[in-house]
Amino acid sequence: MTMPARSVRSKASPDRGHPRIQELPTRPELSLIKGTGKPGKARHPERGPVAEGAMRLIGWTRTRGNPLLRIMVSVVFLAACMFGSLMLRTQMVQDSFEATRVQHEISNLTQDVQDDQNKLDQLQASLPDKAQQLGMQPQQGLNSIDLQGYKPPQTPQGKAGNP
Amino acid sequence: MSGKETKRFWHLSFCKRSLSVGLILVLVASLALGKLAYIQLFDGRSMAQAAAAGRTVPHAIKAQRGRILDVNGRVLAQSLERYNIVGDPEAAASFIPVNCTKHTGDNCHSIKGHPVGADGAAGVARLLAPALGMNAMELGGKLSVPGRYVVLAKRVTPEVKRAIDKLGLQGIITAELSSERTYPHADLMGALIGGIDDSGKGVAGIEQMENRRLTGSDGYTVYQQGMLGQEIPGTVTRQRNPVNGKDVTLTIDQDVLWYVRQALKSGCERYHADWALAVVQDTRTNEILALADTDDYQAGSDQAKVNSSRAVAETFEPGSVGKTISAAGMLQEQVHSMTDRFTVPDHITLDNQQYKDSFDHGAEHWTLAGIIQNSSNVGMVMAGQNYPDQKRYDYLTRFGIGQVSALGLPGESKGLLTAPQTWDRRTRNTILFGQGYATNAVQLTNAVATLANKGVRSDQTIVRSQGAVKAHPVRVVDEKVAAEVMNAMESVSEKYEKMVKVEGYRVAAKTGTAEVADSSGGLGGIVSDWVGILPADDPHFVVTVVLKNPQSASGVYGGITAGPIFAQIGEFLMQKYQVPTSSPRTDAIPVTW
Repeated sequence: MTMPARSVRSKASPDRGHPRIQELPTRPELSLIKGTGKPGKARHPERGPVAEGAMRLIGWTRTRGNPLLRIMVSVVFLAACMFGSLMLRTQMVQDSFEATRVQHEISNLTQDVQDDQNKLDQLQASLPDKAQQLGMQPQQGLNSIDLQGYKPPQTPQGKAGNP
Repeated sequence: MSGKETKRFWHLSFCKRSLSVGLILVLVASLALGKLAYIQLFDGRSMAQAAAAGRTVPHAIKAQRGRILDVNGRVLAQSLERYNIVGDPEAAASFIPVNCTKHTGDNCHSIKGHPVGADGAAGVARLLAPALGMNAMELGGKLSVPGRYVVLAKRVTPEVKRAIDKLGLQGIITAELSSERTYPHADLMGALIGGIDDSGKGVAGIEQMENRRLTGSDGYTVYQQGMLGQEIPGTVTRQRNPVNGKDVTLTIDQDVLWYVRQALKSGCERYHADWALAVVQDTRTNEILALADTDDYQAGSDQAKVNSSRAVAETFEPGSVGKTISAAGMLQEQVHSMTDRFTVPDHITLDNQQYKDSFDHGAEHWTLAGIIQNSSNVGMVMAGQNYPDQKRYDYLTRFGIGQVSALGLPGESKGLLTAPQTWDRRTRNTILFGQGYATNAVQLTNAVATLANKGVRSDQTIVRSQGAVKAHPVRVVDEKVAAEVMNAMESVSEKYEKMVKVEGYRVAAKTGTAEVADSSGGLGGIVSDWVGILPADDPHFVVTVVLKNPQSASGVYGGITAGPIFAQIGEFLMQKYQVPTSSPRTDAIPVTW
């Protein structure tokens, strides 16, 4: 099992020969530094980039001794969450109003289609009466041709067509 | 007390009083804060729940009633969304119109650009009257009653409702969703289609018969509503969509029905008949293509709801058409054959009862086919001597006489056919020629369709079934018997060839004329009928035409009055359905000897 690399830095005997790279704490402090970032070892491949970023942020704040910073980060995070939630809620309500308006429009259109269809049906129903008023009559009598026993004449073309 | 001390005393007193008032204010503020904290921290949730519950209301969503269609899918009945306009008289009383200015924009009240000119109910009525097409005074009167709910108009169109929405009368005038049943062919089949009541339930005709299929299932939605009753978006907690009723497709062909009705109306006018009716049945499917009469009831009207289609409700003695049933029974029971010879006088006395033919003639040499062709009552009585009463009854029953048809139409009368034990000496013989029992046109049509279907009787239908059709076929007589009776019926139509002819097609028919009771209760009325099968050589249709009290210079017989109407209908049917023409008749059974 791979263990994350640890390093302990003590400021009890400061090396005066080296330049100071950070303000010294009043007391010696142990801090945990995460692994050196060897691919496939320290990172969790199953975490997404957002989760990874959050973990790094949490890790970073823990390396700092100032609690004010943690509070500020928390407050900013909470404010961002609240703002995001408010934005989402506003958008939802806006979409809901829009959906209601569209639904209302659809309902109106459906009613209009129903009414128009009804008018069309009534006009269609009155067609026979109107045709009769115009003097149109169904065909009277019967004209038919008896084709029993009829044989088509064999034309030269017909012969050519039948091998 | 010096002035300085007085000033000091006054100063102290003022401080004390200010402190007291301040303390009281602090106390009140603390109480308010405490209450606020209690509400917010301990009671907040229940308060919010109570408020939400107060706003949350279930709303019913009405399901639409299904349509009634003809066989070609044409709409015969359908439901449309409509609104009932409801007023709140209490709110109307406190109405003050807002005059239109530059600053009000559209949020004001005016009538064609002019100020409303009245407050309260009168002002609301003036605004509303043009949209509803009602008198403002009348509307004002309706809105001036005590209470908070008054229906101002029923079943207005969505267009009117939208116009009312724009009047700015929210909170005073509301619209409740309703529906209206419309019938595009209202007068064509009023009593047949029937109608619905105010609750939307079918109460007559097809509307009643198919009510279960036509009726849908209402839905509902539960949401929080605003002050004016509008839905607050995103607050729907429960919802069930309505299920609309199913469409019902009839076997009725609107084109055929229209033409048949026209033929009946012109025939009724020509023969000055009280009424006429006709039934057209497809013999191959047993579907009813037309049930027509000359009544002018509008579908959905009160008249259509209280009356039934004459084709099922009107009963009459079939007269000589009944001879076909008697002849079929005699042949099936081998009492006679169609070629049996009879010498038939024009009257006969049997059991002290005299029977006459409808016309005077000498002793004629007729076969049984000839007796049917000449519609001889005396001949039928002679032929029926060895035909037992029970058989007479059995065959009438097997042909469907005296029984309600399978159509299931409300208001159908099953007719009247009493048991043979109750028949007197005369009735047992009049039964042979279609008198002494009563039937309706639908029963009579199916009885003749049984002969056209080679002796098999099946259930008629007027509604297109979605599944397999259960026709319940029953063999009544042998195929040979049915063919011989049809042969004799063809001889009947040949006799009437000059008056009743469908050019190019052979017809097997039987005429009937019977005396019926008139309004005085005596036998003063006449029913003339004609039932025909066409084409006789390849039956496609059976058509029955019945006239009540026809008057014609040539006579009142069915062959003379109902026959020509039959021919007119038959010609139309042959052309519409492109039925192949008949082949010449070669197998006629002799009618004389």
